[in-house]
Amino acid sequence: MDKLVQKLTNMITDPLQYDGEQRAVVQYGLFAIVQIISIGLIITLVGILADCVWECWIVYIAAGLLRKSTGGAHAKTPNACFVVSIITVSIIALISHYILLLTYALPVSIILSVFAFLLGCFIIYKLAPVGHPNKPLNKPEKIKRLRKQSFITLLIYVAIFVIFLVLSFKLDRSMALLVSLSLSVLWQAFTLVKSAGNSVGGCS
Amino acid sequence: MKKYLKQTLAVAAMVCSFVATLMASSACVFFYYQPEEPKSLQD
Repeated sequence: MDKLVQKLTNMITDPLQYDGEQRAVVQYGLFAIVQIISIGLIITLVGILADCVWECWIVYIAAGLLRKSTGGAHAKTPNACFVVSIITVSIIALISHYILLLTYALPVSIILSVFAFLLGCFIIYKLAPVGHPNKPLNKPEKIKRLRKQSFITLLIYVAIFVIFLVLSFKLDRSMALLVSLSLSVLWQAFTLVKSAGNSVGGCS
Repeated sequence: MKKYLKQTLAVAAMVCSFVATLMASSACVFFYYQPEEPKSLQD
Protein backbone atom coordinates (compact mmCIF):
# COMPACT_ATOMS: atom_id res chain seq x y z
CA MET A 1 0.00 0.00 0.00
CA ASP A 2 2.92 2.32 0.81
CA LYS A 3 4.31 1.95 -2.72
CA LEU A 4 0.91 2.56 -4.29
CA VAL A 5 0.46 5.75 -2.25
CA GLN A 6 3.97 6.91 -3.15
CA LYS A 7 3.30 6.36 -6.87
CA LEU A 8 -0.01 8.20 -6.68
CA THR A 9 1.65 11.05 -4.77
CA ASN A 10 4.32 11.34 -7.46
CA MET A 11 1.63 11.36 -10.15
CA ILE A 12 -0.16 14.23 -8.42
CA THR A 13 2.72 16.34 -7.14
CA ASP A 14 5.40 16.03 -9.85
CA PRO A 15 3.51 18.00 -12.53
CA LEU A 16 2.59 20.59 -9.89
CA GLN A 17 6.27 20.91 -8.85
CA TYR A 18 5.52 20.66 -5.13
CA ASP A 19 8.36 20.87 -2.61
CA GLY A 20 9.19 18.14 -0.06
CA GLU A 21 6.86 19.32 2.70
CA GLN A 22 3.87 19.89 0.36
CA ARG A 23 4.48 16.42 -1.05
CA ALA A 24 4.54 14.94 2.46
CA VAL A 25 1.18 16.55 3.29
CA VAL A 26 -0.44 15.25 0.08
CA GLN A 27 1.02 11.78 0.73
CA TYR A 28 -0.30 11.80 4.30
CA GLY A 29 -3.83 12.67 3.17
CA LEU A 30 -3.69 10.28 0.24
CA PHE A 31 -2.61 7.48 2.54
CA ALA A 32 -5.72 8.00 4.68
CA ILE A 33 -7.99 8.11 1.62
CA VAL A 34 -6.51 4.94 0.08
CA GLN A 35 -6.66 3.14 3.45
CA ILE A 36 -10.29 4.08 4.11
CA ILE A 37 -11.47 3.20 0.58
CA SER A 38 -9.54 -0.08 0.27
CA ILE A 39 -10.63 -1.42 3.68
CA GLY A 40 -14.19 -0.25 2.96
CA LEU A 41 -14.26 -2.14 -0.35
CA ILE A 42 -12.89 -5.37 1.13
CA ILE A 43 -15.25 -5.38 4.12
CA THR A 44 -18.17 -4.71 1.77
CA LEU A 45 -17.12 -7.75 -0.24
CA VAL A 46 -16.81 -9.84 2.95
CA GLY A 47 -20.21 -8.53 4.05
CA ILE A 48 -21.85 -9.47 0.76
CA LEU A 49 -20.34 -12.97 0.88
CA ALA A 50 -21.36 -13.53 4.53
CA ASP A 51 -24.68 -11.67 4.24
CA CYS A 52 -23.72 -9.10 6.87
CA VAL A 53 -22.93 -5.90 4.95
CA TRP A 54 -24.78 -3.63 7.39
CA GLU A 55 -23.01 -5.14 10.40
CA CYS A 56 -19.64 -4.72 8.66
CA TRP A 57 -20.32 -1.05 7.93
CA ILE A 58 -21.64 -0.33 11.43
CA VAL A 59 -18.45 -1.80 12.92
CA TYR A 60 -16.22 -0.04 10.40
CA ILE A 61 -17.79 3.40 10.87
CA ALA A 62 -18.39 3.14 14.63
CA ALA A 63 -14.86 1.98 15.48
CA GLY A 64 -13.27 4.31 12.92
CA LEU A 65 -15.04 7.47 14.05
CA LEU A 66 -14.40 6.72 17.70
CA ARG A 67 -10.76 6.02 16.91
CA LYS A 68 -10.36 9.50 15.42
CA SER A 69 -10.74 11.03 18.86
CA THR A 70 -9.55 8.24 21.18
CA GLY A 71 -6.48 6.97 19.28
CA GLY A 72 -5.38 3.41 20.06
CA ALA A 73 -3.11 0.56 19.06
CA HIS A 74 -1.43 0.63 15.66
CA ALA A 75 0.12 -1.96 13.39
CA LYS A 76 3.79 -1.49 12.47
CA THR A 77 3.21 -1.70 8.72
CA PRO A 78 0.36 -0.58 6.44
CA ASN A 79 -0.18 -4.15 5.25
CA ALA A 80 -0.50 -5.47 8.81
CA CYS A 81 -2.97 -2.65 9.44
CA PHE A 82 -4.94 -3.65 6.37
CA VAL A 83 -5.15 -7.30 7.42
CA VAL A 84 -5.88 -6.59 11.12
CA SER A 85 -8.63 -4.10 10.22
CA ILE A 86 -10.37 -6.46 7.81
CA ILE A 87 -10.13 -9.47 10.14
CA THR A 88 -11.37 -7.49 13.15
CA VAL A 89 -14.31 -5.89 11.33
CA SER A 90 -15.29 -9.21 9.72
CA ILE A 91 -15.16 -11.21 12.97
CA ILE A 92 -17.22 -8.65 14.93
CA ALA A 93 -19.75 -8.40 12.07
CA LEU A 94 -20.04 -12.19 11.79
CA ILE A 95 -20.53 -12.61 15.57
CA SER A 96 -23.19 -9.86 15.51
CA HIS A 97 -25.01 -11.40 12.58
CA TYR A 98 -24.90 -15.05 13.59
CA ILE A 99 -25.72 -14.42 17.26
CA LEU A 100 -29.32 -14.36 15.99
CA LEU A 101 -29.10 -18.12 15.50
CA LEU A 102 -28.83 -18.72 19.27
CA THR A 103 -31.89 -20.11 21.04
CA TYR A 104 -32.17 -17.15 23.42
CA ALA A 105 -30.87 -14.63 20.94
CA LEU A 106 -32.79 -11.60 22.25
CA PRO A 107 -31.78 -11.72 25.95
CA VAL A 108 -28.23 -12.85 25.12
CA SER A 109 -27.80 -10.01 22.60
CA ILE A 110 -29.19 -7.39 24.93
CA ILE A 111 -27.09 -8.49 27.92
CA LEU A 112 -23.95 -8.77 25.76
CA SER A 113 -24.58 -5.37 24.14
CA VAL A 114 -25.24 -3.52 27.40
CA PHE A 115 -22.19 -5.11 29.07
CA ALA A 116 -19.88 -4.49 26.09
CA PHE A 117 -21.08 -0.93 25.60
CA LEU A 118 -20.76 0.05 29.27
CA LEU A 119 -17.33 -1.57 29.63
CA GLY A 120 -16.18 0.15 26.44
CA CYS A 121 -17.42 3.53 27.65
CA PHE A 122 -15.68 3.03 31.02
CA ILE A 123 -12.32 2.18 29.42
CA ILE A 124 -12.59 5.14 27.04
CA TYR A 125 -13.51 7.43 29.95
CA LYS A 126 -10.42 6.25 31.85
CA LEU A 127 -7.84 6.21 29.03
CA ALA A 128 -8.81 8.36 26.03
CA PRO A 129 -7.06 9.86 24.16
CA VAL A 130 -3.93 7.76 23.53
CA GLY A 131 -1.08 9.06 21.37
CA HIS A 132 1.49 7.29 19.19
CA PRO A 133 5.25 7.91 18.63
CA ASN A 134 4.46 8.96 15.04
CA LYS A 135 1.73 11.26 16.33
CA PRO A 136 2.33 12.21 19.94
CA LEU A 137 -0.30 14.12 21.87
CA ASN A 138 1.59 16.81 23.76
CA LYS A 139 -0.64 19.85 23.97
CA PRO A 140 -3.06 19.78 26.93
CA GLU A 141 -5.66 21.72 24.87
CA LYS A 142 -5.56 19.08 22.15
CA ILE A 143 -5.89 16.26 24.68
CA LYS A 144 -8.85 18.07 26.28
CA ARG A 145 -10.50 18.65 22.87
CA LEU A 146 -10.04 15.00 21.79
CA ARG A 147 -11.41 13.78 25.12
CA LYS A 148 -14.46 15.99 24.67
CA GLN A 149 -14.88 14.70 21.10
CA SER A 150 -14.70 11.11 22.40
CA PHE A 151 -17.53 11.77 24.86
CA ILE A 152 -19.66 13.51 22.22
CA THR A 153 -19.15 10.52 19.88
CA LEU A 154 -20.11 8.15 22.72
CA LEU A 155 -23.24 10.21 23.45
CA ILE A 156 -24.29 9.91 19.79
CA TYR A 157 -23.64 6.16 20.03
CA VAL A 158 -25.82 5.98 23.16
CA ALA A 159 -28.70 7.53 21.18
CA ILE A 160 -28.19 5.06 18.32
CA PHE A 161 -27.86 2.24 20.87
CA VAL A 162 -31.26 3.12 22.40
CA ILE A 163 -32.91 3.26 18.96
CA PHE A 164 -31.47 -0.16 18.02
CA LEU A 165 -32.47 -1.55 21.42
CA VAL A 166 -36.10 -0.44 21.03
CA LEU A 167 -36.26 -1.70 17.45
CA SER A 168 -34.62 -5.01 18.35
CA PHE A 169 -37.86 -6.21 20.00
CA LYS A 170 -39.47 -6.09 16.54
CA LEU A 171 -36.62 -6.48 14.06
CA ASP A 172 -33.95 -9.18 14.23
CA ARG A 173 -31.59 -7.15 12.07
CA SER A 174 -31.72 -4.29 14.54
CA MET A 175 -30.55 -6.70 17.25
CA ALA A 176 -27.53 -7.63 15.11
CA LEU A 177 -26.75 -3.96 14.53
CA LEU A 178 -27.03 -3.32 18.28
CA VAL A 179 -24.49 -6.07 19.00
CA SER A 180 -22.13 -4.82 16.26
CA LEU A 181 -22.22 -1.26 17.62
CA SER A 182 -21.52 -2.41 21.19
CA LEU A 183 -18.74 -4.82 20.23
CA SER A 184 -17.05 -2.21 18.06
CA VAL A 185 -17.04 0.26 20.98
CA LEU A 186 -15.59 -2.46 23.22
CA TRP A 187 -12.97 -3.41 20.63
CA GLN A 188 -11.94 0.19 20.16
CA ALA A 189 -11.73 0.57 23.95
CA PHE A 190 -9.51 -2.52 24.19
CA THR A 191 -7.07 -1.05 21.67
CA LEU A 192 -6.54 1.77 24.18
CA VAL A 193 -5.35 -0.65 26.83
CA LYS A 194 -1.62 -1.13 26.34
CA SER A 195 -1.65 -4.86 26.96
CA ALA A 196 -4.51 -5.38 24.48
CA GLY A 197 -2.73 -3.11 22.01
CA ASN A 198 0.42 -5.20 22.17
CA SER A 199 -1.53 -8.32 21.34
CA VAL A 200 -2.79 -6.97 17.97
CA GLY A 201 -0.39 -8.60 15.44
CA GLY A 202 2.76 -6.51 15.34
CA CYS A 203 1.28 -3.46 16.98
CA SER A 204 3.29 -0.81 18.69
CA MET B 1 -6.13 18.76 -22.33
CA LYS B 2 -2.86 19.38 -20.49
CA LYS B 3 -4.36 22.46 -18.87
CA TYR B 4 -7.30 20.46 -17.50
CA LEU B 5 -4.97 17.71 -16.28
CA LYS B 6 -3.01 20.19 -14.21
CA GLN B 7 -6.23 21.62 -12.77
CA THR B 8 -7.50 18.16 -11.91
CA LEU B 9 -4.23 17.31 -10.19
CA ALA B 10 -4.38 20.58 -8.26
CA VAL B 11 -7.91 19.69 -7.05
CA ALA B 12 -6.72 16.18 -6.07
CA ALA B 13 -3.78 17.69 -4.16
CA MET B 14 -6.14 20.09 -2.42
CA VAL B 15 -8.49 17.25 -1.37
CA CYS B 16 -5.52 15.23 -0.07
CA SER B 17 -4.18 18.23 1.86
CA PHE B 18 -7.64 18.82 3.35
CA VAL B 19 -7.88 15.18 4.49
CA ALA B 20 -4.33 15.42 5.88
CA THR B 21 -5.29 18.48 7.93
CA LEU B 22 -8.43 16.73 9.15
CA MET B 23 -6.38 13.71 10.21
CA ALA B 24 -3.75 15.89 11.87
CA SER B 25 -6.41 17.39 14.12
CA SER B 26 -7.53 13.93 15.27
CA ALA B 27 -5.85 11.34 17.49
CA CYS B 28 -5.02 8.96 14.66
CA VAL B 29 -5.65 8.20 11.02
CA PHE B 30 -8.82 6.19 10.57
CA PHE B 31 -7.50 2.64 11.17
CA TYR B 32 -4.60 0.59 12.49
CA TYR B 33 -1.55 2.21 10.90
CA GLN B 34 -0.18 5.61 11.78
CA PRO B 35 2.28 7.04 9.26
CA GLU B 36 4.67 9.74 10.46
CA GLU B 37 2.98 13.10 10.51
CA PRO B 38 4.49 15.80 8.24
CA LYS B 39 6.33 18.50 10.23
CA SER B 40 4.04 21.27 9.02
CA LEU B 41 1.02 19.46 10.47
CA GLN B 42 2.55 18.72 13.87
CA ASP B 43 1.50 20.69 16.97
